[in-house]
Parts: sequence; C-alpha cells; structure tokens
Amino acid sequence: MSSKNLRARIAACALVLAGIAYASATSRAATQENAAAGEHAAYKTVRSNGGRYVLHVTEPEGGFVRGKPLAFDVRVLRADDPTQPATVGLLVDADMPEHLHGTNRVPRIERRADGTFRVENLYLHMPGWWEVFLDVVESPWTERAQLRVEVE
Amino acid sequence: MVHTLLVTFALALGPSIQESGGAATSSREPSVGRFGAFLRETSGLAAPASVAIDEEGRAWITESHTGTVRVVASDGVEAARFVLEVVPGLPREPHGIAISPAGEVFVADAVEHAVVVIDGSALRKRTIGKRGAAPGELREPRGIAVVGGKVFVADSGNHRISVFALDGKFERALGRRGFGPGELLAPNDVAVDASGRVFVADLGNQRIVRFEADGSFGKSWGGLGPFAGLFHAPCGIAARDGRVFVADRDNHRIQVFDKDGQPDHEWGVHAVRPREGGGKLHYPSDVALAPKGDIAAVVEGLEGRVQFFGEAGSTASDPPIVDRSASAHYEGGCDVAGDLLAVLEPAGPSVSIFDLAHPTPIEITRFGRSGPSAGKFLVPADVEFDPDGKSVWISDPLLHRISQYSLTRKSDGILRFDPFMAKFVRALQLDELPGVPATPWPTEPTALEFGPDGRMYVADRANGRVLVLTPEMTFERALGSVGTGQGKLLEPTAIVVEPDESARAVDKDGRTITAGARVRVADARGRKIETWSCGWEIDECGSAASDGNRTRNLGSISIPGPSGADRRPFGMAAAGADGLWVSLEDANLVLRLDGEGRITTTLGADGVGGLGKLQWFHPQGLARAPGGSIVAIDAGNHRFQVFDAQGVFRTAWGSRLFLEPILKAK
Repeated sequence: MSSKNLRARIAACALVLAGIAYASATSRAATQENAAAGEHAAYKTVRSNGGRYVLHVTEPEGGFVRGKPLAFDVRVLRADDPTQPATVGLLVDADMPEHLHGTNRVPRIERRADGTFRVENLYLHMPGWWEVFLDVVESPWTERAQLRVEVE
Repeated sequence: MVHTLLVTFALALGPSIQESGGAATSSREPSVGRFGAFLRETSGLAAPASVAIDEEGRAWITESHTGTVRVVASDGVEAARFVLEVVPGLPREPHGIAISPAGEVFVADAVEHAVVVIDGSALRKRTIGKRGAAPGELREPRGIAVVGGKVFVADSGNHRISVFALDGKFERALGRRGFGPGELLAPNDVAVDASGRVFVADLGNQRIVRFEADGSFGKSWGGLGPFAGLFHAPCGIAARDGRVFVADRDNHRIQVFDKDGQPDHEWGVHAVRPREGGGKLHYPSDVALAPKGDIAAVVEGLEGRVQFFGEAGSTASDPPIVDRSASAHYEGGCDVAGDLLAVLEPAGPSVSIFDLAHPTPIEITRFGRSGPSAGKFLVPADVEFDPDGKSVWISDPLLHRISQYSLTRKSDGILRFDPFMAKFVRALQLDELPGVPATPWPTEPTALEFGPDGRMYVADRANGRVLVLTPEMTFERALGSVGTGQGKLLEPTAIVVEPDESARAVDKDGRTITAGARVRVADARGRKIETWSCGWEIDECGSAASDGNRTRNLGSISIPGPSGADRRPFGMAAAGADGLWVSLEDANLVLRLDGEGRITTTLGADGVGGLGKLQWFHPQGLARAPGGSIVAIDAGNHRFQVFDAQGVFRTAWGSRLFLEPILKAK
C-alpha cells in the first residue's frame, strides 16, 4: 500500500470517527432535551430563530383547530444547556402573514413551578395558514420561535 | 444667551386676541357647521409645523426648519416675519404656537426644549420650562394651548401634558408614558375646550385622549386605520364649540368629532398629483380655528403650505369622499446589500425589500405590523443590513429597541413576491444591555450602521450620543453627548463608518492592519456632521479589542446656507476617498462633499422642489450600492432615484404620477 493510499485511509477513518462522535454528541443532546421535556411529550420541538433556545410544545387537545380556545404547554431550554428549563419569560401570539393580520384574542400565559409554561386562550379565528409566535424574553433580548400551522 | 432676531416686523398686536388652544378659541364660541370649502392657501413655507389665528384673522405660522414665525394677513399678504435663534447661526426649531388674550405669543422650541414667550415686538419676554425629565421640565415640546390663564404643552419627549401658569410656574402634568387608559406616547398636540376639558393628539398610540377639567382621565378613542374614527398619525388638534378637530396626517384628512369621540364629519381629498393643493390635502399636520369659528387653517408640513377652509354648507362643495388610492411612500433611512435594498414604509409601518437586479427594481417582500409587541413597530427610523446581508435590523425610537429579521430567498429562481421571506429573529432593548450608561431618557435609536469591523453603531436621539456595540452585540462605548458644541449632538439622523486608515496595528502574524474606524454622524438639528475616530487595541491573540480611551473627536463640518444658518444634513452615504454624499431635506439638495467638507457635486436646485432627473422634494435616506452608485429616497416625491459615483442619473422608480417627468424626458 502506498503511503498516499495509507494517508487517505487514515483520513477516511478519522472522518468516520468524527462523524460517530458528532452523532453521539447530537444524540446525547437530543436525549438531554427529551429528558428535560420530561412528561411533556412534545407535539413539536422548535429552535428559536436566533438559535439560542429549544422549545418543546405540546399539542392542544384536538390539535390546532379553528374557532376554539387552544391550550398547550411550552418548555423552554437553552440550546447550549438543554438539561433544565431556562429561567425566561414567554409571550405568545399568532399571525396570518398572507392576510396581514393577527388573532383577535389575547392568550393567557402562566409559568408553573417546574419552569414550564401553560398557554390558554390562543384563538385561530380564520381558516388558513397561521404562524404561532413563541417569544422568549430574557433581558435585554426577546427571541422568537414559531410554529407554522394550517387550520381548516 | 438667547437671541431673538427680528428680520421684518410690520404689525401691531391688538388687545382683542382671544385665548387660543392650538387654535385660537373665542369666548363667544359661535356655532359652526361642516367645513371643507377651500378658501385660499399660503405656500412656500419652510417646514411649517403649527398655526394660530388671531382675532383679526391673521395666521401665525411656525416654520421649524428656519426658526421662523411668519404672520400672514387674512388677504394672504405677509405682515411680519421673525427669525428666532438660540445662538447666532443656530435657529430655533419652533413647533406649536398659541396667542394669549394679552397678545403674548407662545412658541414651543425643540432646540432649547422650552416654550419661548415673545411680545408683539418679537422680543423674548420669558422662557417656560427647560430641557429635562423632572416635573416642569420639557423635552421635544410640540403643540401648545393657552386657555384660562394656563399654558398646556404637549411634552412629547416626556410623554405627558405639562401645565404651567402664564408666568411659567409649573402646575401639574397629565398622563405618563404608556399604552393604557390615560397614558400617552409622544403626544403631539393639545387643545382645551370652553369647559376646561383637555384633548390630546396621542400620536404614538394613534388615538385622542380626553382629560377632564380636574385632570382625571376621561376617555379615549381611535386606533390605527383608514375608516371614520380611526387615525393614521393624529398630529394636530383643536377644540371648539363642543367639537374636536383632528389633523389625521397620514390619512390626508381632517376629522371632526363631538367631545365624546362620535364622528361628526370629515374633509380632505388626498392630493395624489405632485404639489396638488386647491383644497386637496397632503399630510396635514396641524389644524386651527379662527376665533369666530368660521375658518379652519390646515398646516401641511411636507408641502410647505397652509390651506384655509370655510364652512361647506349644503351646496355641491360638500366634502367629497376621501380618495385613498394612495401609492406607496418611503421615508427615513435605507440600506443596500448586494442586489437587495431595504427601505421603510411608514404607512404600515413596515419594511420593504427590493431586488435591484432589474431595470426597474421589484419589491420582493414586505413585513412588519403596527404595535408595541415583539416583531412589530411604532415609528421605525432606520433599516440596516447586517454584514453578511442575510438579515436586517430596524430601529424604533418609541419602543427603545432594535429588531432583527432574517431574510431567506427562494432558491428556485422564480421571481415572485414572498410574504414568508422575512422572519423576526430577536429584539434588543438597548437600555437593558449591561454597561449602557444611564441617561435621563431611555435610548431612542434612530440611525443604524454596521462598521467594516462588524461593530454596530446606534444613534440615540434622546441623549445625543452614538452607542457602539461589538459584533457579539455587547456594549462597548458611547460617542458624544447632548448639546451644541464640538462632540455634541442634538438630533443624529445618519451614520457612516469607514476604516480609519490612520489607526494601524500589527496583528499576531506580524501584518499591519487597520485598527480603528472613522465614524461620521449627521446631526440634523445641530446642523453639522460630527466625526470621531474609534481605535481598537490588539489583544494577546492578535484580534482587535476595544479601548474606550482611544476614542477621539475629530471635529465637525457644516454646510453654510444662503440665509446665514447652516444646513440640516439628513441622510449620508460614503462617496469614497473620504468623501460623503449628504441629503439636505429642507433644501431639496443632495451634495457630494470631499474629505475637507467642500462641496464637489450638487444635485438639485437649492430650495426648489423638482420632479425631473436628480431633482428632489425632501430627499432623505441614502445608501451606497456595490460599484459606488447611490440609492436615494426622494421622500416628498414618493420615489427613488439612483445615480452613479460621479453623480450621473441612472434610474428612478416609484409612484407613477411622480415619475412622469422623468419618463417623458427619456
């Protein structure tokens, strides 16, 4: 085997090992996130638009449907430390970008002792494509995560 | 020292002038009918801000960009003109005006942040209030009402109505900053009716707020929108005869209500053709009634005129339905990254992104909504691409924050409008950022600029400074302080940052690098361009690190105007070789200055608003595109113009009626 081929094989092995290590780390992080999510079986896991937070969102009873006050839970984790809920604030809103308007009710948000948030009274009053905004407030920043949902 | 310069004077104030409230208010209060019949107009004014009509029918008009109070008789002939100065060469910026029964004239001045009281000889008699946030102090005073021996001042920058006795003694304040009942956001005018009820044009909240005579909150009405009872920038207000008149600026109309907010009638047809008047309205910013109640004066700041209206009666001259087929308007700052242009549309308020890679640039997305919550805007002032061009930042002075939106272009190559292209990422409340020096007022960000070093420079109009943020968006240092001397700022509107070639350092690999930035700041109210050098130290690792001790003010340059007062710079863009392109909004000019501040290129006709190629009407933001061409917002003409590095016209686009002169010239 030429030294050139040997170097190539060593490089390939290094790449594979690096890939395994990366996958393992990613998996570990995901496991930590899931562990932090605990019993809150996430309907969706979304990363905030700035990449700083990971949010686990449970599905409202009956799903995201039109014309019904929706309630769901949100757990906010730091992307760089997904082992426990972040001590942050949360604001929730919804919008229809194609129609240039939002929702006509103000959601209620309660922070529980375990660090999760209970969101109630989110109301999607029209059929179509909605963006549900989950704004994480941690002074001096407010960073958005969002869910795109379609209701009939 | 306060100077009051009388330029011309040709009138004697009679004793018959009645108390006025933004408008003159007669004690007789005869009934008035529906307004809307056009009578006459006074044009050629320099950014008129407010008007009051005295008992003899003379209109007293403040011209904010020249520090002038002009008096026009009822036959339209100019009777007098005063120029009010803070110091020689620095005119005041008068806004609200009112006249007391004794003939004293009260003028709100935004340079000294006080109400200046002058007599019939235009000599200053006293000053009410001073710059500050404490009770009895003022910031950005706007409309005034003088009623019942009291002076009511729309204390816009402190978000309240301040009430004084005629001798200047502070009595009380109404309202405070906020969005709830009885709270105010940048109130722009105030009026008081015969019963002592106080009506406030609550500009930032898009509503009218009524306080009762005892100072308690009464009620409010309005909201953002085009229909009767809604507003888009309620700027001016007058109360009389049980009715409330509101200059609904961006809806191009005057709305009339009863004292409880029930719509009575409205008048105004949107002037859609350039400079169209004759009764049609374009951004009416104040309204006042004559003491007899038979004439309404309407100020149009953008158009530089005041139009006078009479009762419409029941003839064919009844107010027609408002034509809202308005085209888009763009104002404030703008920025270019590659093929993309970002601009502000104040009517949304929203941000538009244009694709410049077409003979006529095409709008490819628009985003943003009105409101105080995250991702929304109230009065956006500037937009700036981040260094990689993948997101934009927007400043909003009333919300004290800057917001970042990411931009994701479709990769399928199909050209189309994409409402999902922009996504709100995050917002930064500047005063909560660790290290930002405490100031009397929260930071009000206006101009934004990324330097070649990745630092962000944020102009703060409330405190006359520029905040410098690191690429990691932590606070690094502040430049300037509020005032009129060297190194001080009154109203920063634009920033240009370039490498400071004189600041050199050696990096860890032994290479000589630029280790500083030259920061130039346009100060519109201060009428100058201030320059700082910000040096960085090189740390052990060889990366540039901040060193506040190496901030130096390099002086300022001014652009002399024909009247002796310096020009007001608004927008700026780098012109290469230390040069600058500067827009002069009030002079309808765009200039190129060399590194010494000398004018090397003049685009436009001085003081003359025009529609041809490289003619302007209130030019504002400038942005440098790749190759050195400049995109300019021709705000008053509702269009954009592009010229190359030599000042040669390239293209224009925008509202059709305002483009016709250029299209025909082709």
